[in-house]
Parts: sequence; structure tokens; C-alpha cells
Amino acid sequence: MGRFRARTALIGLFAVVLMLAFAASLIPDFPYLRFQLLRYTGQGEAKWIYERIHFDKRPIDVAIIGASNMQLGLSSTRLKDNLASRGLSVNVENFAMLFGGRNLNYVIAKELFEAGRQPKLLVIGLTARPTHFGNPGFRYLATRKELLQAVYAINLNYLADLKYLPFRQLKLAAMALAPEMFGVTSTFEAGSASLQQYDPAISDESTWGERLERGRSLPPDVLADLASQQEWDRPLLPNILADLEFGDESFYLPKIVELAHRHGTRVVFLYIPDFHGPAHSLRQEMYFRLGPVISADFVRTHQELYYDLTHLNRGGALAISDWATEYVLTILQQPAVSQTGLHRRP
Amino acid sequence: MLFNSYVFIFGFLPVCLIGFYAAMRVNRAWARTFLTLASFVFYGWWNVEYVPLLAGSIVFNYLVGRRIQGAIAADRSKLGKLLRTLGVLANIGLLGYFKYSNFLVDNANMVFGTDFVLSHVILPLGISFFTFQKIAYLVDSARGQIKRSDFLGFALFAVFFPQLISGPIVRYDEVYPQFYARRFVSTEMHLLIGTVIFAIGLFKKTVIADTAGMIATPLYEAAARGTEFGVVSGWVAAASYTIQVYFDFSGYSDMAIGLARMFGILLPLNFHSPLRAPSIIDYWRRWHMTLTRFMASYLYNPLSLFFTRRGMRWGLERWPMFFVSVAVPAFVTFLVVGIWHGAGWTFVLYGVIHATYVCGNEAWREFQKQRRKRRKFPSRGRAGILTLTLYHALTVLCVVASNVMFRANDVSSAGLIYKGMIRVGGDDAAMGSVEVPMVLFFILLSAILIAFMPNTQQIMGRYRPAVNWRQWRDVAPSLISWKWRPDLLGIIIAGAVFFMGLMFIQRGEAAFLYFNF
Repeated sequence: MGRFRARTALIGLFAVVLMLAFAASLIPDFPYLRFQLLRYTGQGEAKWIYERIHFDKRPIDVAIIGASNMQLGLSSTRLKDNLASRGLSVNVENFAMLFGGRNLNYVIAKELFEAGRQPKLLVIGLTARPTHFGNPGFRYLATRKELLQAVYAINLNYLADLKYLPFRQLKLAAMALAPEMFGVTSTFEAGSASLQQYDPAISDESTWGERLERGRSLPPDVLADLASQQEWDRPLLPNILADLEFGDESFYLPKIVELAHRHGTRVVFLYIPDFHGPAHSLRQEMYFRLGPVISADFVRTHQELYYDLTHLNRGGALAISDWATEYVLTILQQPAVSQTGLHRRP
Repeated sequence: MLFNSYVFIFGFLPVCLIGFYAAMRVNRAWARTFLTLASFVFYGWWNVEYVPLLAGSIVFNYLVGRRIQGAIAADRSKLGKLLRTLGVLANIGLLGYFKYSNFLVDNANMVFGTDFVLSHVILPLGISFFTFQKIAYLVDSARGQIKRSDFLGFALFAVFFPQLISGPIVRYDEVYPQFYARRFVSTEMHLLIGTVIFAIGLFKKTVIADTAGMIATPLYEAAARGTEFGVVSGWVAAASYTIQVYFDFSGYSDMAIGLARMFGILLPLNFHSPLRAPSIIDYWRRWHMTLTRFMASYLYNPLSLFFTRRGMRWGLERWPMFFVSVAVPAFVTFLVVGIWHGAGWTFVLYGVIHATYVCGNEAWREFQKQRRKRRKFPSRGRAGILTLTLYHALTVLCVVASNVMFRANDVSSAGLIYKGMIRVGGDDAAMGSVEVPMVLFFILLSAILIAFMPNTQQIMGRYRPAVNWRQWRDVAPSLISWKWRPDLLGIIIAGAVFFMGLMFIQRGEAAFLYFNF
């Protein structure tokens, strides 16, 4: 075989690989199946979120998004009951998911608004420090367009997320052809249990059947030892480069807020600290520019309210929900757009 | 670093190839040095703390080898053999310490009621393979087959990354001359052939083996939990693991051969459609061929020779002679094969099972031979179709059954599966919520692939896929014949195979089964 022919064949081989990858990426999307890709993982509630948004006709008046500290730290049923007792009948749903990363919050928010839902309020959870890497669930749940448009400075996962796309679409096509083989459902069954209220903050079982000990709290001595060993993540770069370092937060959060405002939805940021964590979030100034911030820093020294160092237990979630009720009520009674002012604990 | 990972395929490998090409432009010594250093980086990626161990093993064996070569050249064979023995014992000691010390201490405590505690020893990756490679080097040096070697060439032979972790177990005289041959230059042709072979191996691993693993692993975990097995789950466990281990290990070997080819080096074959073998003896000639070759060269043949001489001195004939000269060496050899695979009773029993198989097969052959002698038949003649089919079926059955012991977490788990395999009726709790029709379809498809399709080297037969290809070219041709060529169809097929292999990596980067050895 001549050198030229070998070289041409080699180039041709890689060209075939690239063409097949491109073709696979274009396989039609199956959104309901896409939200079931994480069904047997710690982000298995994605299926329930999709069903609640698309198949459950009850309004969504208050939507909560964020990371797991928000997922376990704010009880949607408690908030709903508290607001009802104050004369405001609203449906509250907690769509926060495991792991930090605004990219996934954006995917959920976009799914919510593009489905024609118009919540009155979007509660966005904050953590002590934003993640550097985005949410690992993003490549599974984001649309093709969202994956391609995730272009911001230092998105370390951009190529990794894109390279997953051909395989994902192939898998979705296989799931559409034989859903039983993958343990998924291609069509929603009316009357399914998922239509019931799911409140991860107080529920003893996840949507994928994992038992949760939401009532537990850690013993006093263990918590004190752990807290003394904690090293709060310091930013790697100077403050002036914070947008670069926390690109995911800086890129997606304004988009989420803008999306909400475009649909007439109010926005509030809620900070739930870690046990003995900082009293406010690292990127506080950015959040204040985007909307009102309420900080539950009073809870940070109450070990009996913590499930582990970074998550509240059921008691803690109920305490936060009770405390947040007044703020939520006040915000809901304000005009939809142009929220200003600094909101702190009284 | 796994071969079936993006960091290897799109990170380490291109950098290595570019660096190799660039160094080759200067001279071949630079290229050899670069490849040696890159191989150390490859090994260190797993655990950098064990790089000194590997380096130390290389230095030690090189120095001992040089002394042996010097002694043989000076006609001091007794010194050469003494150094060989000491060197081999040191290598076995190293392997024994890392691989078997925990097992020995635990069993000693159990037997003697003692309470010795040994802090958990981490098994260095590939130690079983690179230790055997060194042993072969020392023994070949003492046999006068290796005259001299330079340190860089030896180091590259020892650490060459395609074969470092899980073989093939290469002989010094197979690869060392290639590093110094005029052909040691990676051309576009070598890159192309190497890429296609690598792609086939990757496909075998990520698409077929890992799918089989998804069926097998939950079943063996169920056995470890004490779940009852039925006839369906028992045979599915046995068959699916056989498919997994075959495509996993042969896929790995293909990738190793393909990678070496990208650098212009031909490695020996390690698998030649062993599941199409008509006998257990033939199976072992074609399964993990370099290990069998090693065992035959350095254990079976010397033992057989020793016992044959003894047998002749004792005046043994026919069956008694067969027993000492064939059966005993075969039994010992396969016991060692089993133990080599792992420090556990399941591996010991696996060795005993195959030792029994091989001895039985050898005895059958001896019986047939003596029968022909008595009847004065001029030649063996060919067995009929029915007989051949029976031989093939029996061989596959024996292999599939033994693989249960090989895979099971412990002997009692294997017992549960064996019980299920012969059970008639009753509940099949282990099958759980598995889609039986889909599983059976996959097993049937894999069986058809194994039975009828050409293997990797038969597909690539036009381009001398291995250093010993001439010896195997005409052995066990497949029923369906197809040879790859770099025409449009060949490029599309190779591209599609490579694409699927790459895509399925993302199902989860499962380590190679033989990394555990």
C-alpha cells in the first residue's frame, strides 16, 4: 500500500467517525426520555420535574431552583401551607437538584417558561461559593442548542459535554424504540403517582425510591469536630476576575433572571448557609445587582437543624420555610418587575 | 490510564505519536528514549508511587541478565544457571509479596488460629505480566538465546506501554530487534493498520464486553448475596461472563497490538478464536496464547523432560509413563495458571478444573493413540462432522462452566450458580427483573459472532497483523471470510466500528478485567 493511499485512508477513516458523530447529534430529540436519562442516579427527580411542568395542569405559582442545599432546605408544602394560612392560595414546587451549577438551573427554568408556565415568583438558591465547573447533569438534560451555546470563559466542560451529545442521541433513539429495556416510559401515564406533591425537603423517599433519613441530625461533638476542620473555599483569582473564575454563575444567572422578568416573574435569591459557614455568599454583590437577597444566616450555628455540614434536616427546612414565608408574602404582593432593595433578616 | 478512555485516545496517544515522530526526525535513539519515558508516564498515571518499583525491576533484571549473558558467553554455564535461579526467585518473590501475601496470611491465620496482621498490600498494576516477562528474559539469557542487550533497548522492551499492563507477554527476541530494525519508523501504513486493529479491539471491549458485563455483574453480585439461582439465571451467568471475558481480554489484546503497530512494532497474537477450539488443549493454545507459551516453555516442557527422563530410568511405559511425563506436568502447570490469575480459592479451583480438563484431554488422546497402535491404523483420519460438533460443544461447555468459578466472588457463590445450572423447576430468584428475551438474544448474537465471523487478525490478514502471523494464518479459518482493505467500503466500516467503540466509552469507563492480574 502506498504512503499516499494509506494517508488518504487514515484521513477518510477519521472523517467517517466525525460525520457519524455529527449525524448522530442530529437524531431527533425526545425530551421526556431525556429527562429520564438520570432516572437511577442522585438526580433522578428530573423525571418528576418534567412531568410536573408538562403533564400536571395545576399552576406553578412559586418555583424553587438551586442546588441540593436548596432542595433539602426549603419545604414547598410548608411554604404553601403557611401562605395559605395568610390568605394566599398558591402552588409551590421545589425544582432544585443535586450539585451546584447554574447551567442546570437555567435548563430547568427554560423548560418551565417555554412550557407556558408563568410562576409569580422564582426563588433561586445560593451557596457559600459557586461551583467552578457547572452541573454534571447538564449534558444529560440540556437541549442541543443549550449545549452548543454554553460558551463562556473557562467552561472546562464544554468539549466534554459536546462529545457526549452523539452518544446521548443514539441512546435516546434506542430508548424510544425499546423503553422497557432501559426501564423508562415513553409516554406519560395519567394518574401516575408523580402527580402528587413531591417535597424533597421533608419526604422520606426520593422519587427514584431511595430512603432518606430526613429526621436525623448529627451528634454535637461530631459536628463541632467537623466544623473546626472545614476550610471554606477561597476564590483562586482576585475579585476583579470573579466573573472569569465563576463563569458558570456569571453566564447563566443573569440569563435566568432575564428569562423570569421577560415572563413577568419576580425573582428572589435565598441564601442558606452551611453549618458554621459564611454569613453570606461569596458573590453577594452580583446577586444584589440582579435582585433581592434574603439570607438565612441565623441558622448556621444550630446543629440540631443540620442533616450534615451542608444540608438542613427536616426540622431545619421547616424552620427556614417558616422564616421565609413573610419575605415571600411581601415579594408576591409587590409589582412583578423592578424589585429593588436589600432584604435581610429582621 | 485505560486504553478505552478519551484522555488516552485523544490526549496521551496523539502526544506520544507526535513526540515519537518528532524524535525520529533527530534519530532512532531519541525515539526509543522518548517512547521509554512516555511509557513510564503511562504507568505512573495509575499510581506514581509504583514507578520506582517498575524502574527497580528493570534495572535489577537488566544487571542480572547481563551477568548471565556474560557467564554463558564465558562458558560458565553453572554460574549462569545459578544467577538465573536467583533472579527468577527474586522476581517470584516480588510477585508473591505483592500478590499473595495477604491471601497467605489470611489462610494461615484461619488454619493455625493465629492473628498475624499484614497491612493491606496494594497490587501494582501489571505486576503479573511484567514479572513473567523478566523471568522469560533471564531464562532465555541462561539458555544462550539472548547474547547481549543495551540498557535503553531492554528498558523499552520492558516498559513499552501497549503491552505493559496486561500483555501480550512478549519475548525479548520478538520485540528488541524491531526497535533497532530499519522498519522501526512509524509510517502512514503502520498508523492506518494500527488504528483499524485498535478500533476493532475498542469495539469488542466497549460495545460487546461491557454489555455482557451489564448482564453478568448483577448475577454474580446476587450470587455473592446468597440468592437462589435457577437453570436460566445459572446458564445466563455462565454464558454472559464467558462472552464478557473473551471480548474484554481479546479486545484489550487487539488494542495493544494496534497501538504497538502505530509505532511500527509487531506484537505476538494473544487470542485466535479459542471458543471455536475442538478440544481443551487446542483452547489453551489459542486462549491467552502468550501465557500458555510462557508456561509451556518455562514450566511444562522442563517438568515433562525431567519426569520423562526419570520415567525412562524407572522403566515406565504406556500409561504409567503418560502419567509422569504428561499428566503430572500438565496438572502442575495449570494449577500455576489458576494461581497466577489471582490470590483466591476460586482461582486455585479454576486451575484445578482446567488441570483436570487438560489431563483428561491428554488421556483421551493417549487412549486414542494406543487404540490405533493396537489396531495398527496407518493414520488418524478426520473425525466425522457429528464427532467434531460434539468435541466443539463439549469444549465450549467445559470452558463456560469453569468461567463461573473464575468470576465468582467466592467458592460458595460459584456453588450457587452451579446448583442453578443443573436445577430443574423452581423459582429463579436471581433472574429478577431482567429482560430474559433480550438477554438471550444478546447471548445468541454473540455466539453467532464467535462461531462464524473472522477474528481480528483474520480480518486484517493482508497486512501481517502480528509478529507470528505466518504460524497462525491458516489455522482455524472462519466459516465467513472477509479481509479488510482500505477501499471505500473498508474505510466506512472501519470508521463506523471506531465511532461505535468511541461512543460506547461514555457508557462508563469500565476497567479491563485482566487489570486485576
